[in-house]
This record gives sequence, structure tokens and C-alpha cells, in this order.
Amino acid sequence: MNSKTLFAGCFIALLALSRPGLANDYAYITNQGSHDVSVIALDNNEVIATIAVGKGPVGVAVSPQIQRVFVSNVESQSISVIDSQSNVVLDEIQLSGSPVAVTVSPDGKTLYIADWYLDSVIAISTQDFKQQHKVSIGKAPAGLAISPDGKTLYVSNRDSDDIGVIDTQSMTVTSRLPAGAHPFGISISPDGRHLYAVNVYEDSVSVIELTTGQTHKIQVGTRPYCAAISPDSKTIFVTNTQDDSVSVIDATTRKVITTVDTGGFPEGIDFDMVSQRVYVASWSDDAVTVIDAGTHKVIDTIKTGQQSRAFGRFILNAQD
Amino acid sequence: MKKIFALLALAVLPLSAMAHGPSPQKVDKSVTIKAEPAKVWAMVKDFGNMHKWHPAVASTKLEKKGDDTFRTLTLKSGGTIHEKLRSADDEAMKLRYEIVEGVLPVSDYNAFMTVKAGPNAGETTVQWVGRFYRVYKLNPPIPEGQDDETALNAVNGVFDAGLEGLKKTLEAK
Repeated sequence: MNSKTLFAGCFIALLALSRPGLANDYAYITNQGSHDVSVIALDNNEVIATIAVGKGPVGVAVSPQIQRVFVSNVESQSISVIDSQSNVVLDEIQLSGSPVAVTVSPDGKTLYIADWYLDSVIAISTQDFKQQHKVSIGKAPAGLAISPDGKTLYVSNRDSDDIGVIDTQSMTVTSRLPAGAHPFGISISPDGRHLYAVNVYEDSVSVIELTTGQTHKIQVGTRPYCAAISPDSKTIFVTNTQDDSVSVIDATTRKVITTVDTGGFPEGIDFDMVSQRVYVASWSDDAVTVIDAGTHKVIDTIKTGQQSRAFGRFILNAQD
Repeated sequence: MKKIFALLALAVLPLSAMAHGPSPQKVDKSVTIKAEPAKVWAMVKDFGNMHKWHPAVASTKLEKKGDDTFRTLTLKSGGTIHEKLRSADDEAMKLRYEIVEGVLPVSDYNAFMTVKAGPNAGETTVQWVGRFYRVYKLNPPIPEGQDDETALNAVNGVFDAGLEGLKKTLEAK
């Protein structure tokens, strides 16, 4: 170990320990190529810590209720558990398959993992990682979204072009909803009324009305990946990975209002309700692009680790 | 205190290039060329003439299908690569293309090349970035020659030889 690395390590550790608890808002960006997580303080858009996790981190989920951040390590087939108050890795949950998306129930009690080697979804108690339930689902489950009441879990089955609906209490699949070709990122509107599934192979977003089951499609840019929704459920932001842009959609008219240029290969996207900004992970620029949700202008670019993906809900607000 | 040491230990773990799982791979290479950016861009964006600067390419055949532009590269080592032009942006001096099919051991390959003013006057920096997956996308075991390492080696080879060839060609003129 050289002294520079030691110093850097100490510096990170000191920063982590000197944080006075959750007085602020943070983004946790998974960096697939550098095997770490960049923690961005959202008040000044600075990286305040870099946390080493497992290999090939992709998925991320935050839980303000239990002050934890969960990261899926695709290559080491595990989940890193981070304490969001100290930014220290507390645990690594080893899995037999390969995790992609992770999400946490609104009460913070259950962690859900989409496993695309085993074609299943795993529910793990956040109090006791040994308590696990598994349910078989479609081919290559990728994205996850949970209803605001925590009763229903949605899974995008990338290779069967549909959305699996899981009753979380019984952990059984209750139905499968058709989506477009190769659905990856999925998001549920905060009002619980609509599910948005991003169809990578047909450059579109499927809108599923959860009360009626009616579906609509909206054309976006090339090879879209993920969607984020404003807290009022009125605006949808979709990353177009091969256009280096974000499509901004009016949820009522289901029309693209504008397209915002971002860093290269934008993937994960999340909405910060405090600053009313959208944070976008740029895989090819190793950066995060910050968009003002009101003006649709890029207001900042933050350097992160290598190959940032941040697939999931990665913004942790102090007041949620 | 224990936590600090645990964190320190994690922070200095060696970063291995070994990889499995369905992760996209990235190759990102740059070269500085002693030539004006406009001259370099003219050569980079000339989609139908890659053989003029890439030492592994024997010939290039350009084809238009409706609004789309394609090229077929015939390699000196044999085999072809069929590519689609995604965009050539003169303002940003950025070329984007993807592989439709070919002998390179990769899948879902797309790449861009950007041309920018270099560190000194009269110099240009060319960046070439590729994103792709290995050929075998299913669960392990991964067949030989279809893994991440094979894919990375192939693209690294194409980019290294190409950028060196581009530099040599432009500096010779």
C-alpha cells in the first residue's frame, strides 16, 4: 500500500465519520468499472465519499426509514449493504445467482432483488438477511418498482417482454402485463396510478394504467433505459442511452415536451424533490449530469467513478 | 476503529480486470496527432474510407439504404464487419456508428469517435470509445472465445492499431 492510497483511504474514512448524521440529501452512484459508489452531497453537488463495494456494481436502492443503501454487485453476485449515516459497508449478502435491480419496501423492512441468472425475485428481510423468499418470474428479470403502499411489486422481464406483478405478502405472481420489446427500467408514479416501463429495443416507454390495465406507448430516443418521475407524477424523464439525451414527457398528454442533451450513455436517473433537479448517471463520461426540472437545462456535471450506472432509486432525502 | 480499518482494506483492494456477468464493456482510447482538427475530422468522418488509415482494413464498401448509411469493412486477416453510421456531427466533430454483424467477438457494439483541439497549437486529440457485450450473454459457463476478456482484447486491438494508423497517416501528409 503506498502512502497516497493510505492517505486517500483515511481521508474518505474521516469524511465518512465526521458526517453529523442525516442532515442532508445524497445521491449514491454505482460505478460498474471502478467497483465503487460515489456519494454526492446534493446541496453543493460534490462527491463527499467513494465507497468500495463488490465487483461490477449496477443496481442501487435507498431506504431513509432504516438509513441503508443497497447495491447489487453483478460480477461478485452479491449485495453490499451501506450505512448511509457513516457511508461504511456493513455487510455483503452473497447470492447464488446474479442480481440486477434492487428495491426496498416503503417501510424499509424488505429488500427485493431481481436475479437474472435464476429468473426469480428474492425478498430478504433487512433485519435478518437469512430470511429469504424466492419467486420464479419471467426471463431475465431486470427492473423493479414497488407500489407506494408496498403491497405490489412490479418486475420487468427483459427477455419475455412483459411485467411480472407480485403480491408481496404471499410472494406469488398474480399476473403478467405485456410491455414492449426488452423492458429494462421501470418506475411507478408517486400517486400509484401509472407504471412506466422503458422498452430498450423499440425506443419506447409503455405506460400502464394500474387501475384499468390500459396501456399506451410513447416513442422516445434511441435505446432508452430508465425513467424517473416528478413527485407530482406529472413529468417523466427517460434516459436515451445511444442519443446521449433525456426525453421529458408530459404524463397527461403522453407527449415528449423536450429532449435534453446529457453526458454520454445516460443510464440511471432519479428526481431530487428538495432541489427539483434530475440526476443522470453518464456511463461513458464517468459523470453525473444535473438537470433543472423546471427549466430543463443542464446546470452541473459531477465527476464520479468509472462507468457510472446507478440503476434504481439512488437519491436519499433526509425528509422523505 | 474497526470500521475504519475495514473501510481502508476495502478501499485498497486491487481492481481486477476479470469479469463475468452481463456487464457492458468499455474501451476508451485517445491519441494526440500533429495536425489541425479540421483535417483530422475530415478523415475520421469519411465513413467509406476507413482503409485509408486503419492498418487492419483492406477495403471499405459504402452503401446507402434509404436514409441510412452502412459500410462493409473487409479485413486483411479475412472476414468482414458490417457497420451502420449513426451520426456524423460536424459541429461537435463526433462520429457515431454501430456494428450490425461481423467477425469481431462482441455483441451489441456501438462506438463514437470525437475530434478536439489538442494540448498544443496545431495538434488534435482523437478519442475513440466503444461499448459492447461479450458474445455469450447467458449464464456461466461461458464458452471459450465468447467471454469478456476476448471481447475486450479484440476491441483494444482494433482501437490501438487504428489510432496509431490514423496518427501515422495524418502526420505523413
